[in-house]
Amino acid sequence: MSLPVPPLLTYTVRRVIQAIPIIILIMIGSFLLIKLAPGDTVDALVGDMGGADPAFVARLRAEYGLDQSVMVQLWRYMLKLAQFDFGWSYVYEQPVITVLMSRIGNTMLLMVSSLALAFTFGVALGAIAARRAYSWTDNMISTLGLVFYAMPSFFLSLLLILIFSVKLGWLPVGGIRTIGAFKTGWADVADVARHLVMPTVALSLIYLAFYMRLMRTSVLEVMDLDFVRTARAKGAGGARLMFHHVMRNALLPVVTLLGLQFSTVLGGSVIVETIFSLPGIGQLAYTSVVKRDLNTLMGIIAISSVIVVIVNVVTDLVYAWLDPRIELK
Amino acid sequence: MTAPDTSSIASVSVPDMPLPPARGLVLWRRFRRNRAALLGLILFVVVVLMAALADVVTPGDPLRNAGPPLTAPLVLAANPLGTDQLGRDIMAGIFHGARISLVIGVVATLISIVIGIVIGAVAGYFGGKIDGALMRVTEAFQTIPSFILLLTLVAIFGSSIQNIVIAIGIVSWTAPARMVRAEFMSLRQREFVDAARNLGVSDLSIIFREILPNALPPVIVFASVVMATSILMESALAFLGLGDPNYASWGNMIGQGRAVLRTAWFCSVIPGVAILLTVLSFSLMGEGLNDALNPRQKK
Repeated sequence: MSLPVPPLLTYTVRRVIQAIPIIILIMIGSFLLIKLAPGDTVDALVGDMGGADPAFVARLRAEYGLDQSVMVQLWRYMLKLAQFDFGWSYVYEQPVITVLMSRIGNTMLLMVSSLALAFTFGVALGAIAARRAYSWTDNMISTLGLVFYAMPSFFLSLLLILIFSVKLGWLPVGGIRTIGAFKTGWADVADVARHLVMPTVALSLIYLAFYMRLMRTSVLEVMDLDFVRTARAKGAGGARLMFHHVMRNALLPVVTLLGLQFSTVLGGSVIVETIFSLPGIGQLAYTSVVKRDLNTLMGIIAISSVIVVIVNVVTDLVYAWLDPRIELK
Repeated sequence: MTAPDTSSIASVSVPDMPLPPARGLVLWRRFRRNRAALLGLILFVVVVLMAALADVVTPGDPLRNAGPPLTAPLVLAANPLGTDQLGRDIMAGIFHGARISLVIGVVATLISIVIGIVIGAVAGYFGGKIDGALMRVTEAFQTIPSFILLLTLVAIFGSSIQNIVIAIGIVSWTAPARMVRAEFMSLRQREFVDAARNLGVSDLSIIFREILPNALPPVIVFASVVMATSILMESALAFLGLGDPNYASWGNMIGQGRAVLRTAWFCSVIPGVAILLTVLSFSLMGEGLNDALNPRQKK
């Protein structure tokens, strides 16, 4: 007789195993990109030194393993990536992983706050619009959604800065903390929160629009289903019907979209972090492109892929928890 | 319920019955019923006209010095929308920028839809190991944040306009591919496909001539979304100063206007509104197309 393994654990393990080929493909892809880029590490080094004699260059190539066959190089590259060794950043004069780790917290803070804002308001507004379908309220909310959807985040950021920093002077233009203030405890938390208000809004509005539209359609669909009619016949009405019976089921597609879009949101952080000079992964991606720091760029691709894979697994688990029809097999 | 109208059944056999309206006309009638979609179409036509007439209305290089720097809108007749800090005419930038946005939107969308159709069709039609392998590749592309991949491609291959268009196409084919695959998986079981196969029609011909025409409608609707995101991606690149510097681009105008935001807000707000309305026109038209192509779908 074997020990009963909790289905949640086997399911999680299975999902993680499924993600391995995807991570390997991404590793191969980033290796190919590095090979396609003009010049290699040694060229960059020698260029930095202002030239060197051919014998020295050849010795450097051997030292970096660049004289080996492509397959050997790929194998070594993947082994290094698997140990989270992304090489050396010649811009920051540090290992890439150190640079990434010092910035990942800020990006995650921005991600979590933006998605929380988009999800809460998107779901609430979508449900309200569906409750009063085809009314004046619904039209207002839907029109607002279309405008949010068409608004580029960088334009929205500039408008926010123009209104809340330049004209009203309420919020700081950029950064994550007030420079030189050295606040501690709750004062520090409040300071960071104040700096995050505009970036969060700028990043989340387009996703708010997505969730709102999806939630509206989804609630309308669920309200037509038989079990809702049964619940209504049993006397459930108003808030109980909406929250207990309709919303829980209508949330399912929104949760799926949340997981699917996480990587897009991470990409969007490049623009928002650059505008508000938030020291996160997105801003790092921008400076790496400008300064041609390919190692850091590949490190960002690798680390963000890992984050996206983790988020996708978590989303699937949340989905299974929300929908009791799904068996964790 | 009223009694079934027998006269219409009888009239089928009448030889000189008027022909049913052409498919295009039917689609147009359904599209027209959605007022928001009509507004989208009008906005789109305006953008196309701006792109087509750029050289007539605002002739010459839009990047040249055309007036006193930082002129406000509606002050000089020569610069009706004002000028930026380098004295470049904003109206010229808007008209010529429309051209770049449309070209990038259309070409990048074509590239991504074609890649998506080929990969989705092969995966959905053949299934099995081919499907598994292609889907892993698709998931890998979906896992990497597309804007970061776009930045990487531009950093490695350079930011000429051709490279930007190809790069945008490469980062946005996954959603159309999944869509085409799903359609193919449901259509390949159908009788007309079996019939074609029994007649000895080749796989290639079944894919492109039998199944694809039936799988296209949702892809066409989705193309409007891809077009909108392509335009947004190009303008974001240009905003960050990573676009092609040889062409006027709305995103670049906003990025440059950022430096003078305190004193001359119009330098970034005017092109910003242009992007907003263009993207809005695509999403409104997309909804109208959806109504026209899937009339029975619930709203």
